[in-house]
Amino acid sequence: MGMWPLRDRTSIVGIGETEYWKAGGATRTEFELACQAVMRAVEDAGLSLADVDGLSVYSGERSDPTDVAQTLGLRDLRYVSLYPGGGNSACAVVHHAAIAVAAGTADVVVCYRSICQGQFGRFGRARVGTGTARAAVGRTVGGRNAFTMPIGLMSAAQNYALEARRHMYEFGTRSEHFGMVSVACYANAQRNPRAVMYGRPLTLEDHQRSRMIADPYRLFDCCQESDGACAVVVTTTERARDLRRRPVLIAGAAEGLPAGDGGDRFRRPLELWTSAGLAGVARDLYDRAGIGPADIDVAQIYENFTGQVLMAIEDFGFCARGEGGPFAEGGTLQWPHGDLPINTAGGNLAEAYIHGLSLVNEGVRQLRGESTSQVDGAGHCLVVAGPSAPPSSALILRRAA
Amino acid sequence: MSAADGRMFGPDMPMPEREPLTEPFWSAACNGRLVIQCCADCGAFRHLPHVMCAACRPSACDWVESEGRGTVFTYTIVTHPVHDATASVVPYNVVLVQLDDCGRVLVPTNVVGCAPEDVYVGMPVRVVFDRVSEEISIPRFARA
Repeated sequence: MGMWPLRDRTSIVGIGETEYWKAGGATRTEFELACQAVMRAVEDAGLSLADVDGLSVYSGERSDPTDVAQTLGLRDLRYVSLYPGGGNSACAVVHHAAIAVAAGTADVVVCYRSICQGQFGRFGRARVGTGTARAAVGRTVGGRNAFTMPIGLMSAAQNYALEARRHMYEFGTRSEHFGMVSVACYANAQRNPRAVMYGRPLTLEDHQRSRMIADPYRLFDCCQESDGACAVVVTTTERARDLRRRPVLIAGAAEGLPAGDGGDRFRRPLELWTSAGLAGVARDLYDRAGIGPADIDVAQIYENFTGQVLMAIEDFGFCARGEGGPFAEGGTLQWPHGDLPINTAGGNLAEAYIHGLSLVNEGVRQLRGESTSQVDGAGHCLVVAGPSAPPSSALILRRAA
Repeated sequence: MSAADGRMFGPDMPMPEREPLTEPFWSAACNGRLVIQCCADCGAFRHLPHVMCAACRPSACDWVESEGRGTVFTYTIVTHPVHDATASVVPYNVVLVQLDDCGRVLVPTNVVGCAPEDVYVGMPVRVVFDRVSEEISIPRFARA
């Protein structure tokens, strides 16, 4: 294959977000927050809502694009895209927006995610279905749920804990290694007034003392349950040069589902039980951006759970397979001195859980030089969505020259 | 093996629905047999049940009886209940059992009669059946 034709040809030109709350704290409806985030991102770009002609969202997005378009009085929409899944979509929605604007199908595409777990049910409770189809567990369960709910396998934490335990068994990874992810995220949140956990520092001892949720995962290994919304504006880099903000180039974007993986996670190849399933995405992403792991200055890596962050770090080649735990030792993941500062706004663990789109916003801030935990001279930021939640996705964002 | 030997949860736990695709599995379980789908063409086992073999595509499927012996591939100990029916049961284990005689198949299940701290990766186990209703027996496992 030749060079990826989209390299640097599209850019993120605006970001927006609402206030973030612990689940149940939002003072307005989820739908209003979606609209607010979109408006703020468009304003940040120096565009008007009349410029928006495309929307790219998660398939589980309750704030339906047709309702958002109508409510905001958008012009004729020329492009609408729904990416399957949840947090795995955070970078894929940007990828699809980039494809659309590069193809000339649309001029300005907005990606958004609104999520108020306080209004529509918490992810940490048993449920069936995903996104808008999620529902309480009934007296009887069919399909794949017939094999999971009756054995008490009922939450994301429990499912991902199975992978974490296997990683510990095969590679000697320890709970303290998981805690090092939490500590890095919480430390960054202490510098970010937007973060729900601002003013709530966390030590490794705090992590180790926190209650077990689904062994080996403790409370602070789990992402938060939040209320809030955020949005990202994508257009061509050519057009971006004329806009208000310095564009952040989409150097590379990739998504994928490993062969053999799918909705039935029990059937995937055994080696995927100790991986984030992102090796193929990483290969494509570096190839498309024309750089490698050594060129990454800062990373935003989706924390569904801390062990999956370590597995993603392995998949993206920052260390060998199985070495994610030892790699995290010695403050590697911590701003400002670590080799790979992660989740510089606090991430899903400590800023807010907006299904990962907030990580894209923070990646943009890093390359604008506006993060509250700014990496000096950051030129490339890796953003990774939903590790071990295929089809997952990732971006490499590049500072414009 | 009596029903009580395999008992794990209370009566409020969600119950599996018997559906056309999975009927042979639940039917066998009611008779104290663990059966796993096996492609009649290539012999590949698959679990959870699927409508076709991913390698051969539409093909005949046999339901092959497993001897029900295997080892724990991985596990979690659930301490935080997320459903009312588990509130009085925590801590409890969830395990994936790799069967000795069904290729790389992993069976999501529980180990019964075992304290949470005694479950480990590599633990040898054998199937037992938990008769949760007239129509449903759930295959769980005990230390072998």
